[in-house]
Amino acid sequence: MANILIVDDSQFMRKLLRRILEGQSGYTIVGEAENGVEAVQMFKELKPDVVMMDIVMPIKDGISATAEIKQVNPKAKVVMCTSVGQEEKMKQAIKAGADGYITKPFQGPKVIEALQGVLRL
Amino acid sequence: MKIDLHKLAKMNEMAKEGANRVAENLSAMLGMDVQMKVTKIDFVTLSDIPEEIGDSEIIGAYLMFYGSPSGHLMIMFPVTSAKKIANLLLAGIGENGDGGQFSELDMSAIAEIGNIITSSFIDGWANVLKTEIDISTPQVIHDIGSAVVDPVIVELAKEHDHAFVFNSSIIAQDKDITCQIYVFPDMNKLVEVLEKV
Amino acid sequence: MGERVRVKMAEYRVCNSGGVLVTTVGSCVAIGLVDPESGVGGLAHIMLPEAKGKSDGAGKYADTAIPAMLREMEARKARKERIIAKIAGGARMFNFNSNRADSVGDRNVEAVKRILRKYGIRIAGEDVGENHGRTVEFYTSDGKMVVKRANKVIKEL
Repeated sequence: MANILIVDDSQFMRKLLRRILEGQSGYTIVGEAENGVEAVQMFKELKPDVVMMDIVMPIKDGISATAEIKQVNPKAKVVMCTSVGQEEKMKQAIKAGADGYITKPFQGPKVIEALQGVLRL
Repeated sequence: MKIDLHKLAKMNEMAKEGANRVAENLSAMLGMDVQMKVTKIDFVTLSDIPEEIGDSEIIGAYLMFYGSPSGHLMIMFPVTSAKKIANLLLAGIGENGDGGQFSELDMSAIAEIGNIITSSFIDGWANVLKTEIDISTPQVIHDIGSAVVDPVIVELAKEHDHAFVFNSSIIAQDKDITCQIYVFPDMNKLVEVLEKV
Repeated sequence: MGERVRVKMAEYRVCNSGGVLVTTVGSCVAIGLVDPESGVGGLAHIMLPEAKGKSDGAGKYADTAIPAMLREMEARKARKERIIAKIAGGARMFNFNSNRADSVGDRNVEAVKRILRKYGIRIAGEDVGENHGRTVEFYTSDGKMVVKRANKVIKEL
């Protein structure tokens, strides 16, 4: 069973990810954060196996939050979730330590594939 | 400022590329065929835009983009279209839409549509212009159409009285869903980037 | 009832035939001025506080629209000491920059009030600020201002 922390400022996107993951066995959603600050805090408290991290968020973006999470635990696994065409952001995210990525609009199988990919790391 | 034929051709290419990507990604998101009507590129008097939009109620999603060029993007849904789109997206996550009202979740779903439209459109531009453009988080409001666009016009009017506007509309035929998209790139920056292409 | 005249963004209109002047504002401000005795009234739809030397239309800025409208009203037999003002708009529709405490709407309202004070014009009614648009009808015959919101709430100033 893999514990997942969902980080996205959009209520709709959090629900969509929850729906995709709950339709599969093997994943438990342990928390939902709405910005980068909450994400780092919840990561420390909940110690999830994987963080699904949106990039563009208010207060603190997903790239800074990923870098901080990696400082807390270099073995943390982070999957970046972003919109099409943010390749440059993606490069920055990988530099910050992201282990995988998926692009919006999300499709269920792609989400699962990305999760399985980082869990094998 | 000089806008020659070459630049106009490039702007047309940007519009077309942007529109194609919007249609593609929206079709995937909504699970239906979505068409984006070819964008009209206009050089307009800013204060005419609120009159063009009129006083009917709309749901508007507003985003900014930063880079080369930066600018503003406004997506305007007639209320009935916004409700249909929200219901469609909510059905996809196993939730029921709430009658005629717009819930927080409805607005969040529309914000996400705004996000996908903007990132797709801007991605098309960035591809033609070979530049990087970032987008902001979306803000969604339900209000009088001309009042929704007013702050964006005011922001632009600090610098100029005219603006380029890329005007397009989306139609998902089987569901009667329409929306209008206005993209206002920063003129000076756009010309600068076009010169380099 | 007089004819309805639409006042566009960055415009002002003056009339002395009992007309109803109409506009819609978000962060902009609608400024209605009237001399009830002579029946001369005007409505401006300003976008920004100050022209700062620019000459791209008097109606665009609070500090140019108000004196221009006063001049036209006085030319039509209005008397400045009888003129009163009603204002609406100046909303904060979006957060352009969450770090900035004041929005262009707030600055517009502040400028309109300051400039009206400078010309000695009393504000007899206002519906300003908040985060919603307003359609404004200004009755130049008696100075009544009717402000409507998208949610159908109607205020009479």
